[in-house]
Amino acid sequence: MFEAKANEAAGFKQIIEAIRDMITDCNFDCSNSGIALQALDKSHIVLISLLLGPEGFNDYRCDHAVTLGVNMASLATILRCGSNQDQMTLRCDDQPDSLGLTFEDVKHDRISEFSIKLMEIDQEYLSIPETEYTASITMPSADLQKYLRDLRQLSESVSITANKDEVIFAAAGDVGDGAVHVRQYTDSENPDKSVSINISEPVSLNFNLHYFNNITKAATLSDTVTLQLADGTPASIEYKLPSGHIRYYFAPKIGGDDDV
Amino acid sequence: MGVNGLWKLLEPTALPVQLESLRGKTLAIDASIWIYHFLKAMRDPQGRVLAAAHIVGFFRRICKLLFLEIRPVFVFDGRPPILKKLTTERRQERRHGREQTARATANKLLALQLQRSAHNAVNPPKNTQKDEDGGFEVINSMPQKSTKTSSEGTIGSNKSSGTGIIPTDQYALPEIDSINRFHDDRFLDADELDEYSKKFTNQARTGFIDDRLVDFHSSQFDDLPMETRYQLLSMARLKSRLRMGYSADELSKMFPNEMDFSKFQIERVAQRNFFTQRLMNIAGMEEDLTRRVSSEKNREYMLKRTSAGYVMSLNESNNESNTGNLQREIDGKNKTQKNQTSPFPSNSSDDIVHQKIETDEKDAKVIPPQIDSEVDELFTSSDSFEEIDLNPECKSDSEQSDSGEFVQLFDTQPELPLWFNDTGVSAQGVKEITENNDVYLDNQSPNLSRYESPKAEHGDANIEKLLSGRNHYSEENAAVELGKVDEVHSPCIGLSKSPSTLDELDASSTQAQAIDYKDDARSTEIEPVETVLSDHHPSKSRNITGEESANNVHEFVTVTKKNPEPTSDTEEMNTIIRDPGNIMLRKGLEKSVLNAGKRNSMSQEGQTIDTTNRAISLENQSIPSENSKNPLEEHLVSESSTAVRSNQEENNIQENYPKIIDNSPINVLELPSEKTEATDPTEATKTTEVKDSTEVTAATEATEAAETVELANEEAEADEEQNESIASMLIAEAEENQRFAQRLAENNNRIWTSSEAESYSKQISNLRNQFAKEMRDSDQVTTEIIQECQQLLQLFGIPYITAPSEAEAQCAELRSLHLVEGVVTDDGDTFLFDNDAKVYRNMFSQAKFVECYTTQRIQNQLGLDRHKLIDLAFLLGSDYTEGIVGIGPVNGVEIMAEFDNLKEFAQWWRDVQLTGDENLLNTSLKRRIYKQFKTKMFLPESFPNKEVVEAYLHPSIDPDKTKFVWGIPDIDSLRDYMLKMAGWGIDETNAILLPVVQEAKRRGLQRKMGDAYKQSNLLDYYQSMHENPTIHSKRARKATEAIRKKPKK
Repeated sequence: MFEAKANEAAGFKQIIEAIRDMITDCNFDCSNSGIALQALDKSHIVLISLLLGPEGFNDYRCDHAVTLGVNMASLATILRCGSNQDQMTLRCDDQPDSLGLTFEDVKHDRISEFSIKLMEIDQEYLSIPETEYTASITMPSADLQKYLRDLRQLSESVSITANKDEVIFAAAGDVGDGAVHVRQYTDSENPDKSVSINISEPVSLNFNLHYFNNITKAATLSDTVTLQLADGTPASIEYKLPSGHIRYYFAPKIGGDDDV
Repeated sequence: MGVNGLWKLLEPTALPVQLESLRGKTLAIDASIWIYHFLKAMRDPQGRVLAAAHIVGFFRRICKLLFLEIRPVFVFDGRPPILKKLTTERRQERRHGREQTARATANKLLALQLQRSAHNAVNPPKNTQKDEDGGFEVINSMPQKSTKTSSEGTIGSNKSSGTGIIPTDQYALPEIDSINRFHDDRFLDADELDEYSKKFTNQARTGFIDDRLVDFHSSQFDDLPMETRYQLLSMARLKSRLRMGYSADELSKMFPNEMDFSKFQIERVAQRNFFTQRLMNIAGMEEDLTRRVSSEKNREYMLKRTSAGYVMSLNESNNESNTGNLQREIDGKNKTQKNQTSPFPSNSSDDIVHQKIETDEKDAKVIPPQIDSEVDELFTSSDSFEEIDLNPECKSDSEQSDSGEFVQLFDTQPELPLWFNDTGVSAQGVKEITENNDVYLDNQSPNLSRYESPKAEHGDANIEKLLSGRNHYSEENAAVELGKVDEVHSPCIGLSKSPSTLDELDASSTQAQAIDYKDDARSTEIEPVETVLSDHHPSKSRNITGEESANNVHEFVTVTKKNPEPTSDTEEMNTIIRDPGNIMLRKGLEKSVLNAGKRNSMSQEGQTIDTTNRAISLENQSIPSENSKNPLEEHLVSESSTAVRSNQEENNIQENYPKIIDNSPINVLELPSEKTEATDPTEATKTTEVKDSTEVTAATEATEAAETVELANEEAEADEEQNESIASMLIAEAEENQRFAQRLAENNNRIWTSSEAESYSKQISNLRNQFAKEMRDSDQVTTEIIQECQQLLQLFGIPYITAPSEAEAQCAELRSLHLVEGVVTDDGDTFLFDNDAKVYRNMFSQAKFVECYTTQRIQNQLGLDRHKLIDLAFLLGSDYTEGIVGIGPVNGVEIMAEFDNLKEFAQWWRDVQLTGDENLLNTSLKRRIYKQFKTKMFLPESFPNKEVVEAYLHPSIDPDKTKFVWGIPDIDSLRDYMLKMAGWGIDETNAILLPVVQEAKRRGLQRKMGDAYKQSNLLDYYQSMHENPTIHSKRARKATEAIRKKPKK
């Protein structure tokens, strides 16, 4: 028996909305330590790693670990049936063939029940080694989203260069070039607006902006984002959740000597 | 290919990779494997290679690769290294053996089919569903009766009409056995029809038409709009210039004999000429070349141009209703002239097509005489056959007879020009038959004038009436034949000839009967003859119409269409003629006990049947004219089949029968062999030789027939093979003989149990599968195929290289030169050539994931590095080494785990084998191996062969570091190429090609945007945690663990 009750459906809905563009089907692994999800996008460029700790739910109970294979589009469709303020309960058996979702409008004493059929998903799991990132930037998530959205107008890809005390997001295209320089900044009144940069070694990486923009959709989930870079490895982009996190591993574009 | 059983071992180490994640990668592709696969896999249901299989296969796969943004580099095999050559030679030996077994299987199949059909022939089965051999297709004989009468159908329907049970409703269709549904273009459901027509219109538009599917002689063709006709003809004409898509190699295989090839070429020339003429005709370029050559009173000789050449026609102006044209074929085929000296009237003075049909008909008749003198006998017999049929007919009607009416029949139509198409020949035949029968002597001198004025002969004795009756019948018969010819304008003209040839065949067989009971019958015959047609009296004029139509199928059809009544009457008449004929023939089977009393009862029987049939036909009066042809066909069919059977039972020359079955389905080309065959039984009966002598003839015949079959069968063969096939044929025949004798000895009533039938069909289907498999294993890659593939690659703008020797080795080299990122192959050899291989396997299978194998993973999980894999190859066998019989992957890895290297293993084995020293058997594995291979395994001193190791470690490769360049697909040329090579229409090609090209274009634009970086892949950084299926074999798992744990040296 698995049961997780959240005070507000909004959080879960936003998470699903944030990731549904990148993955079609994925497995939710529910265990005592919460709900976890690891999903690779189709082209193996982005890995989404999601963890929702039990603390994030009003009620969390998981007798046996269960794996819930869900089609993201179907899940999103059903989630749309509940309002953001509703209490949401996820429920299933130990050997589930469907996942039940209940939306409870406490105010109006109204309950709507849905269930979604589960499926067997043959999914790839990647083991992510402990990586020492040489650059770490924490900044307001909305800012990052904006920079990248702007640069997308210029080019398909962005280069992120972390040098000394600043991080440069730069793009070059037919229309013209553009670069955003971000420096350390502390907002004592509003810590979420602060930018902290921590660079041990200079690093410069290129990323596909299409994918990057998909990633930054998670800005709705958290006010801050932590971007970690190291040469020769995928970037890690993490959004903190009330209990848990959503983390993206993003493969950079490489090469340059190649004429492609 | 590769190391035997290696994949099984490696499979657990496979890393599933999504196809999309290969985007942008440069991959080397082992093209040789592809070609090999296409050759093996792309087969039609009969196991033959599809034409252009490799082209289509390459095209599809390349498109898929390009769509996935994979940049392929194709690597073709070069000259195989000597080591491989040796192994390949051994392989070829094996293949050669397969070819032979394929042949043997075909023979077995044939024998079984024969047995079964023989059973069917004797014991009427519940349904007429029947398998045919040769083409290995299942053909429902029933639809064939109504639409197409190939020789198969003739034999197939034997069961219903010729075996003693006369169905009360002759139009009743047999129940169709649902399991073996023969795919037939004529029986399509709506969807299939849609698709078919779409395909056809597509073909018509692109101008690529399979002219084998179009019969240019048919009236249907004439009904097409002129535009379409022109298009089709011009295409067909153009195509007739080509080699019909055969390569020079194939052609030389088809025609091992230059003579045959010349004949074939001449045929093609004739065909082309035909197309040209038709084309000119349609284009209105053909002038009216008809001109009068000479004339006398009431007659005009005209020289006419027809599609078949020039024709001399004689216009008789005194006959207004029927222009009795006497035509003389003087076209290029001299044979026609020789045999067609007998005049015949024709109404088709203006219609070329009709004349063509006639010519066909003539050809069918004429071909046999052209063969040799034997064929004269064939014709002889064909005439005697007609007589035979006439006789029962006479008898059956004797009770209602009225001789006066018969005369009247001819009186009413005195001017009717009768058609005596084969009078000349029949006269010959009659000559022979009437050796002891004066009645027929009158016929001996075929006289044009006599036939022109049949009236004059009415005054003569009954004999004359018999004669005219006979003629009448022969006309009917001819009509039937023509009807068939018309009906059969299906796929190939050649087939349309088969009914008539078969007819002749039957005739020849029945001749024996004729001779036999002629004496008995003759006395009683004459009287009935007078009355033959008496009860057709009311319909005599219609009969005459039928007779006329015999000259011209077209007219026949139109007349019958116009007037349903005569149709039914003709029909009626045919059934009347048929039934007693059948009975008579059946009687012929039992001719050993044939006597007058029986005949009487029989004729009574015939009468009753006659009346029932008549009732039926009256009911069916409104049936469209097409139906009227059915009985005609059935008539022929039944006769021929009965004849075939009677022939068998009469003569002990069963091979005749097998041969018919053998030849007919396979190829029209073989029909001549049938004919020659057919004459043989006749000879045999004539001479009434004992079995011994017939056995001898049988042997020679078989050889002849086998040769013919061989030639026609497009299979060039060595003499020994021929002999072998002949031998097996003879064996089959001998069995057949025995069986027949046995069955005759028993009773004809023996019931063939259904279980027997089942076991037969089971065996047949088993053999069929085996045959398909053996066919598959015996095909091989040719340089032409490789060249065609390379041409395709050029059009796609894809780089390809030909390796100095092994493609796999070159692929490995390309990877180590960093020219490619991975290798797409199904050949496990790559791991033996490459220190750090990355192989993608099953790239084009349906599975979601591509399997990715890397040397690293294999080493990590199985502990097998390149050297160990090479060692393993010695045990398992590969392209370079034979391996050790009995050692599979499991034993292999166990040995690898037990010994440090193969040298050690070989040393130990030699020691233990020589000394049998128990001390050397200190582990369980050693004991087991010793026990298992004590007497089987002998390791040479050279084991493991250093040369082989060397060949794997330092293969001959091209170390060129030049980077590959990819071009843009040449769409127009690709369309042309696909049309030319695979017959794909523009739409078909576009459907696959265009999305790919558009995608490439889009990408090209993106690239221009100055994006110098390539997207990397997470799998490049992170290890998949995919849980690999563990090795199934516990022993192998244990062994690989042991290898892994072994300290590295």
